[in-house]
Amino acid sequence: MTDPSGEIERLRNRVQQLEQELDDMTVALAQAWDQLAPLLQDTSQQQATTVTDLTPVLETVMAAIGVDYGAIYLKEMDECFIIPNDPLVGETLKQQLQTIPYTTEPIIIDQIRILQRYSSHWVFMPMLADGTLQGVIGVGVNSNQHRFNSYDMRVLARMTERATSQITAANLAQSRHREARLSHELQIAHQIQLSIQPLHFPTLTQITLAANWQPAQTVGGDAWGWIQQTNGNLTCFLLDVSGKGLPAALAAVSLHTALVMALTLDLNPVETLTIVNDQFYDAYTNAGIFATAVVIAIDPYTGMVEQANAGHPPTLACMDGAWYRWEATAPPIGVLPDLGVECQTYRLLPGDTFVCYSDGFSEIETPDGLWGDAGIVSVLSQALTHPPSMIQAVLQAAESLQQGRSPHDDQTIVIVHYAG
Amino acid sequence: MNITEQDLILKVNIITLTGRLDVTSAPRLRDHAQAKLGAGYTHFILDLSQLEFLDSAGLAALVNLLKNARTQGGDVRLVMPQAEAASRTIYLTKFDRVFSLYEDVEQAKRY
Repeated sequence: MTDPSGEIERLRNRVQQLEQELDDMTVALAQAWDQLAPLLQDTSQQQATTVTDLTPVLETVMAAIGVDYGAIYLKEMDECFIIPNDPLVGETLKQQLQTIPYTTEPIIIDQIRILQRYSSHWVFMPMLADGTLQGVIGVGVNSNQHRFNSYDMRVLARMTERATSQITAANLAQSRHREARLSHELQIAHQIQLSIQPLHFPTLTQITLAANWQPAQTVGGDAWGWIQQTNGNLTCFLLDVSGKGLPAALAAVSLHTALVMALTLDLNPVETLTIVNDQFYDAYTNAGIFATAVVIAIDPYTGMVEQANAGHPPTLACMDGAWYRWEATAPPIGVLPDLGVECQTYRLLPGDTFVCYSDGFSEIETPDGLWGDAGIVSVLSQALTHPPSMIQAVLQAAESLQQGRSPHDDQTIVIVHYAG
Repeated sequence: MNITEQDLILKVNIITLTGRLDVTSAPRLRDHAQAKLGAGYTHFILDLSQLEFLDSAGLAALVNLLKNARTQGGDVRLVMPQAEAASRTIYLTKFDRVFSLYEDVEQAKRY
């Protein structure tokens, strides 16, 4: 008859021996993994833009730990990828991962029930880049006998770091690519906008015209132009599309083209603004924008002026030594289906001057409030016969008021002097 | 002779804006107005009396709301800003021909 207590003692020693062997194997495996991991880090280190790009990482971690499932969930894209591909498990898992609170610690989910049939057991490692949670990588087993040990955690942590670095590299590359493309497109848009602003001014003995166009950003919603119509009139215009950036620039270019076309057909200022309003009303309504515009036709021989002003800041006219404001008679283009703009007629005498500008000047903020048209007039009292000098005076004053800061809005100014 | 009658109750959404309505803040007004239109409001009173500044982007947001409201059979009434910098913009751009303008909310409420 065997001694029961001796047999128990022998078995206990055997268990301790086996546990010691298991610990030694775990340490050895961990050390082997430490040597393997850098190699894995160096090989096939590609940028990952989708969860499927991370498949090699997931397969490696599954093989290393020996599990039934592997899964990656990317938070921003709300994408979940699971190996083996099982839409039902994937969807159930995704619903869990969308709602659980994330920390920097591993997340253990003891039961994810699939159709009430079986449950799986999971451990997830958060993917943190610069303190921001990118998602999680996890492994799962069907057996509830499996317990994830320190070795499993170490493998999972290492591979999660690797996956995170791949995602970070991809995000950075994508961001740089987007920035470069956007910058390139903006430069093209700037060149297109620049090309529609007149490079030369009219060379008439009776009229001197000068102008300056300055977008607040690379592109802007302002534009100006002039044309000598076949009836002999010199006609200039200035437009300002609401908003900023590329959408405003695109609208400004198309409106500029439409105005030039209408004026080329010898339409008068009222006809011109009316026809472009008819043409652009629906498009502007859909886009939620509008454009102010002023068109002024001058007969060089008689000094007769016709203005049509749709919501644009008043033209400032110095006539016979006194300043007048030729205000808008209609709201901007794209606001009402029937523009209803009126023709304003004036007669310039030799020595008279008028100034058209965009609100980027009049809305410059000063310690005493907005600069306004009074502010513009205050710097124009000198050299009233020389538009280029007047332009410089306004630009210098504006720059001084802005104290070196970039303007908040596009700034365009057109000055016309009538010598008769 | 038959006489029939019905009472109509008009739901009017009063939006009060303070500070600056410009390129920075206009998207917030657009989103807010869109949400109200989505909730079934078609008549609006925009109280601009405490508005300090209004630029073209702000005006575009107002026009956007007006067009959307009128498309659904509604309207937008404006209570005029007291600040000259804001009221001047409305007059100079001829938006007084676009919107019905009122001195205060009570006046704007009257049918």
